[in-house]
Amino acid sequence: MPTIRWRGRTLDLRPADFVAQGGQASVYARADHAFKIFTDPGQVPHPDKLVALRRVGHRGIVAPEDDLWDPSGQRVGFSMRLLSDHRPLVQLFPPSYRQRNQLDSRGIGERIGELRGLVEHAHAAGALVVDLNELNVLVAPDHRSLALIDVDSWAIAGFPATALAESIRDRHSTDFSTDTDWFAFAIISFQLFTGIHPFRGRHPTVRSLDDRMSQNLSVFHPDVVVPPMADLDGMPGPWRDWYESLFVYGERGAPPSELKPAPRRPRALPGTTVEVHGLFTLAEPILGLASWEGRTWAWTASGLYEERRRIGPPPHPGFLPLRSPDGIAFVGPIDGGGLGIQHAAGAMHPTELQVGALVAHEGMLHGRAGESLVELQLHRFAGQLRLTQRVTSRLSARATRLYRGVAVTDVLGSVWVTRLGAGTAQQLRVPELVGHRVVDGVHSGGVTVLVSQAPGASEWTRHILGPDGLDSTPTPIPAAELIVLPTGVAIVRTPTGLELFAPARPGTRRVDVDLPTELVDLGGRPGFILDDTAYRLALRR
Amino acid sequence: MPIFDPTDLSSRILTGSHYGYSGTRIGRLGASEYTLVAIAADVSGSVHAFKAEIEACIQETVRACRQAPRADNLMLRLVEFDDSLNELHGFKPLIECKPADYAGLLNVGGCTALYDAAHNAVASVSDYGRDLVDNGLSANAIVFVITDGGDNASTLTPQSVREAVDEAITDESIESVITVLVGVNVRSPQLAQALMDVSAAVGFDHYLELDRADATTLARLADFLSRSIAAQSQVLGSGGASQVLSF
Repeated sequence: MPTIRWRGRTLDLRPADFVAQGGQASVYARADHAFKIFTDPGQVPHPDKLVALRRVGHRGIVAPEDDLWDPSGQRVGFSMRLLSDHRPLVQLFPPSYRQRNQLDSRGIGERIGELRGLVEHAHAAGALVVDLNELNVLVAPDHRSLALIDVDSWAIAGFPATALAESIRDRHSTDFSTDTDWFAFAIISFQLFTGIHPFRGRHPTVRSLDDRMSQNLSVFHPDVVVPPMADLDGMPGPWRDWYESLFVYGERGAPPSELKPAPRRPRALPGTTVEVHGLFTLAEPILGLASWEGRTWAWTASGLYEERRRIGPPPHPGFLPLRSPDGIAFVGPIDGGGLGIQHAAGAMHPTELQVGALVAHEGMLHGRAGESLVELQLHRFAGQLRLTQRVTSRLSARATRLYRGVAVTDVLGSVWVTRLGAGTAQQLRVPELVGHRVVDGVHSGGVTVLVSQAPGASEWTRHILGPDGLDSTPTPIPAAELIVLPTGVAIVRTPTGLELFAPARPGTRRVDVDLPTELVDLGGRPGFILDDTAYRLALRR
Repeated sequence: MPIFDPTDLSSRILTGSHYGYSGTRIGRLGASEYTLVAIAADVSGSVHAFKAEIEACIQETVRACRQAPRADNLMLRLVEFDDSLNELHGFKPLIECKPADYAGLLNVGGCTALYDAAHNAVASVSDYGRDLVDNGLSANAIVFVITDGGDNASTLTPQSVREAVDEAITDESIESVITVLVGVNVRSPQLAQALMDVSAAVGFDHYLELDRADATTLARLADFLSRSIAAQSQVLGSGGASQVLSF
């Protein structure tokens, strides 16, 4: 293990300090610092280059800091800031990873915008990144920030770049420029948008990556077979135009500034038995949707609609939908305590009911009042809407978490699941969930779905509690989504589509569908919202 | 209630062999490029003494690979072999493989159908890789055949394995394939020479010899397997040459 001098101190690096080894150097880490030690001291970047790189100065650019010396006084490397738990950007490329980690197109767009900002900053400082490949960009554990590493390989202040990956090399350029940086940026940002390298997919005759890039045979070429999981439709229009100009027509230049992600259009995958029908489109994004008794309401930031017809102002923030003799009303906490009733037309009536932890489901509202779980109901009395509560359970309400139509009580080493119906509550003891952290649940049509994390586990488990007991399977989706059709067939969303089963019958049918968002209940029919449009899913045998 | 749906995996036939393999249906895959990993583990009677260590080695390999940056770009298939082959699971995304599932998984007994196993492992990556590529995905592969003895039960010959290896290399579908024969608990020079000869005869790229089968040695093997898998995955798409790391 090497011994180094750093900031006037001697460090004996240990095997436990080792991080990684590359072609030219090894990286060690201790406390908040990483140490890059070159195998050949002659490869250590010139001190003037390191000075120039330090001047680039950006939180997202991990530049060299202090020189490292060996005991004989020879420069052997440099120190830099350590980024704990950061992972290479390549991890975000597969759609399966993004789906498992709930990384949506908005988050991807933000990271692409951040990466563009880092490259712009480097250019403004007179540097070229050159080796802007997917391993030289790290992403924070929460996916909310990026950092550029291997900065000593950059070209700056007359010092040339020292590395370049084949996967991002511009075959149409013989030197490096901001254009070649933007080409490399295009290659990795394209993979973030689509999940595929722009020169992958199968071409019938031209196979190698090198030839494909040289001949501009990208995934946009009509002869190229693109794998089913790659989504070429999810990127903003101006960006698609920019990618095509680069990859198809060989043009070069910086990316467009507009980064608002295009809403992903729903599509049933080939050979599946799902049909997607648009229900209605409003003038602005739909924020919520409720449906019962054959009627469907949607609300936006500026109004409440019954399908396309505006019927009132939007619900007050924090108010939840509740079945009303008039169709729909909204109930939520008001200033000064108590609950308020907001009529569909917008009128507000205060009540003195003290109910917290409200959860809406299938037109019902459940909440906690003192030590009891209660259901709220709206009645018309003497020409006015009245809000009443009735107790559904008194089972250790303070140790209980409410979900949609189901409550989970974890008390004294026992776990109880309470299925909440209209004025009813059925309690079941579920020993399999002891020690689990339940994160979501839903109950509908006699079927209960819970999602939990087992003790010490990092992954989620989905439990379906039906008439025959508990059925548990791993799931990458930490949310319980369930729709029960009037026929009794239950539908849950999985990473690859939908899973259909009848609680009273054995067997499961799986349906592939590229479902970009969570299911919503359209009165016992599955649907979903995308931006300004509500869609219904029709299932065909 | 939901049950495991066998339609997640589709069974496939390999020409020239009694044995086929299974692989995840392509429509269910969540990445556009995969490194296919095939591990064939000898479970002949002589493995009984270190069965748990072999299982621990596979568990550790799976655990380590799940931490790799490209974990979502790996697929693993596991086969055990004695007189016959038994596919413990077909090609499935490594991220869906749980280390705990490999405890107590192997069934020991019988002779050693080494050539049948090697042929099946190589032919399966070749065939499934071709299917992936035909559907627009990119793929490369790495094959490990782990044994503690020479062949004494195969229906196929070394030449059959060699042809499968040659086909995997020359077929333009998968970008590259690495084949590694791992001799475990090789304590006699005669067995060492015999396995080295087998590796050369079937055209494997590498022969790795371990003179022990204790927990420490097999933990190092797990480290070797996982690092080699990660390196092969890294090569995929970069256009660089494949490499096997040093043990």
